[in-house]
Amino acid sequence: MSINIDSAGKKNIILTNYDKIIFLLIIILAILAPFYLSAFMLTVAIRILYMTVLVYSLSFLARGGMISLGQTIFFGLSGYTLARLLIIHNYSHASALALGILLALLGAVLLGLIVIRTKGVYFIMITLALGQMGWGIALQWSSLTRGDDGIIGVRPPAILGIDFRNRLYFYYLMLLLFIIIYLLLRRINSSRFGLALKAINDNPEKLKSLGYNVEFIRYIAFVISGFLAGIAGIIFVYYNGIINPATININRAVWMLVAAILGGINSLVGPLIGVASVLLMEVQIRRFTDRYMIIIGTVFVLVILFMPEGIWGFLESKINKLKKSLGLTRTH
Amino acid sequence: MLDPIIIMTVLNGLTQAGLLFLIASGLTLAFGLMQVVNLAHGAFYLLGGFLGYSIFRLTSIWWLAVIGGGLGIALVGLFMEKVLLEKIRGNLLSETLLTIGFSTIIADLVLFIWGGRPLSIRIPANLNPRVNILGIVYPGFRLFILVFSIVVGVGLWVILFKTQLGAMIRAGVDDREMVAALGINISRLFTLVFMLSAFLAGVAGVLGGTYLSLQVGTDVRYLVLALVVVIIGGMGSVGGAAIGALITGLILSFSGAYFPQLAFSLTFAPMVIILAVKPSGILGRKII
Repeated sequence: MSINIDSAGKKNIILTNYDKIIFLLIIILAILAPFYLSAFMLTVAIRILYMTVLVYSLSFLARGGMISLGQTIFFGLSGYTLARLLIIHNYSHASALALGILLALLGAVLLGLIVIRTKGVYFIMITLALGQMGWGIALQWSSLTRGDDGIIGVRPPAILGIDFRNRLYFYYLMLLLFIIIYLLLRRINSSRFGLALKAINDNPEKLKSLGYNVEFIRYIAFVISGFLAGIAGIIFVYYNGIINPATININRAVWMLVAAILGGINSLVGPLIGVASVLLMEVQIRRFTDRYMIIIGTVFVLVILFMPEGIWGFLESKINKLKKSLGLTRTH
Repeated sequence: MLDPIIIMTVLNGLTQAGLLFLIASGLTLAFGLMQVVNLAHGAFYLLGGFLGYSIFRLTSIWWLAVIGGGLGIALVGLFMEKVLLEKIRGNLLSETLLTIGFSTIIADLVLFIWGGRPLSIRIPANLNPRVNILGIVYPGFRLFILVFSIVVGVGLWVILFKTQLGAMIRAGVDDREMVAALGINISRLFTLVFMLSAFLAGVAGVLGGTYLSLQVGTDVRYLVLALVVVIIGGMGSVGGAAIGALITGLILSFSGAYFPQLAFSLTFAPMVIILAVKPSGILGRKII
């Protein structure tokens, strides 16, 4: 399948000096962002960062050929746990946060047993169904979730005298977290496990005959992806102060997919570009109409038809060509 | 003497099952042949219902709304199959993702044209007699949906097993390459089946819009329920869709009556069990 992984991953395992410089430049730009972005655009930047973490939970799985529409479950599990423990049970931030992530992990550990029994199109269907089940629980089990209204009023804590209700500090915390997750995922992707996961997508039979436990690798990948979505859920609730069924409905799942595929699902840069493009598009279109999903859906369909590797996949092949002609690539 | 509430719940479950079968049979039929899960099937249902609603507002002829809703969606299906899906044929995941994108567009378009308020089509009086069953009075239109879906089921069976077209479809489900090699125009067969599937979704939308109501969100609900039905029954099997619809309809109705807080979620229980025990579904052959 062309949506998925090509051989680009292999080229990226070794960071060339050139890539390192670009990476540093981007980080410096991000650190300076509050100085050149308006207050509004800074909030957009925060949203871009945490939504990218959420989309990573999708693209990470997609490396192994699993396209999930159910990541909202883990996003919701951690978010609801955090909100409920803080607001209704008066837990401390540390324990509510830890329990939230733990529950998301536990959810992935359990549901993973079911979903890894399916592949390809079936995997999409099952995760879609489970995601809707999660949404149904959030909506109908109102004694637990407060139904349609959701749980309101979460505020970020102050740590060591830094009040994270201040959007500027929140941004820097988010940026730090994002960089950590980015580097961690980069590490995982180039590890033996990460390469095996990608190989599952390319040729599972070959991997099996080499003695790899394909089922187990897919399972672990699913648990990791649940963990990532769980982290995103925590940040989301802290940032927005609210979680309700609409937070985890099908539109969110589709939105993630659109962003991932638009940016390019084969790399870690792709989802970031995808999320940024969709969010910025949304911000612009929303000034005129609420019906922005028509336009985003159309863009999505066009990308699938004409640019299956996504924006970054497209750019990357151009950049690589340029690098080659400038003699910047290392051959290995 | 049976408890009237139980009788009522069973009858409601059967009605739901009828509606679910109408939706799921088209989904499973298209999947069996094309291996593509049309995730826009729920959007087809919704748009079909709204088309029917507008036709009924204009003409007040209910049957025209049913036919119009069905044909309108068959045309949408034709567009989607010929213009979009055919471009990336063979790439199953891309095809499936494309249907998601298309579904998003339809849902937002519906919101744009008909707004977000729930609408419903007035039940035609001659189809809604008060029927006495086992001591309770039951709305006749619900029974009509049940009968209608049985008629459609029988019709599908006749098409699939008694006609040449059906033979081609069944052969295509078994072995696509062989059918193409025999000189049958598989591409046209795909289009035909996809349109039939879309037609059924559109018709179901008008029926569902008369029995219940239509609103953006209904599309996802029925898409997911239809997926549950075909996963339980086995992808590609129309008979399986009937079994899956019965199970899902009854659970929906009973959990709605006895565990309203978990009504929607409980519907997924049989799917989870099936996946754990026989991932290919009750009547499914193999999982791909």
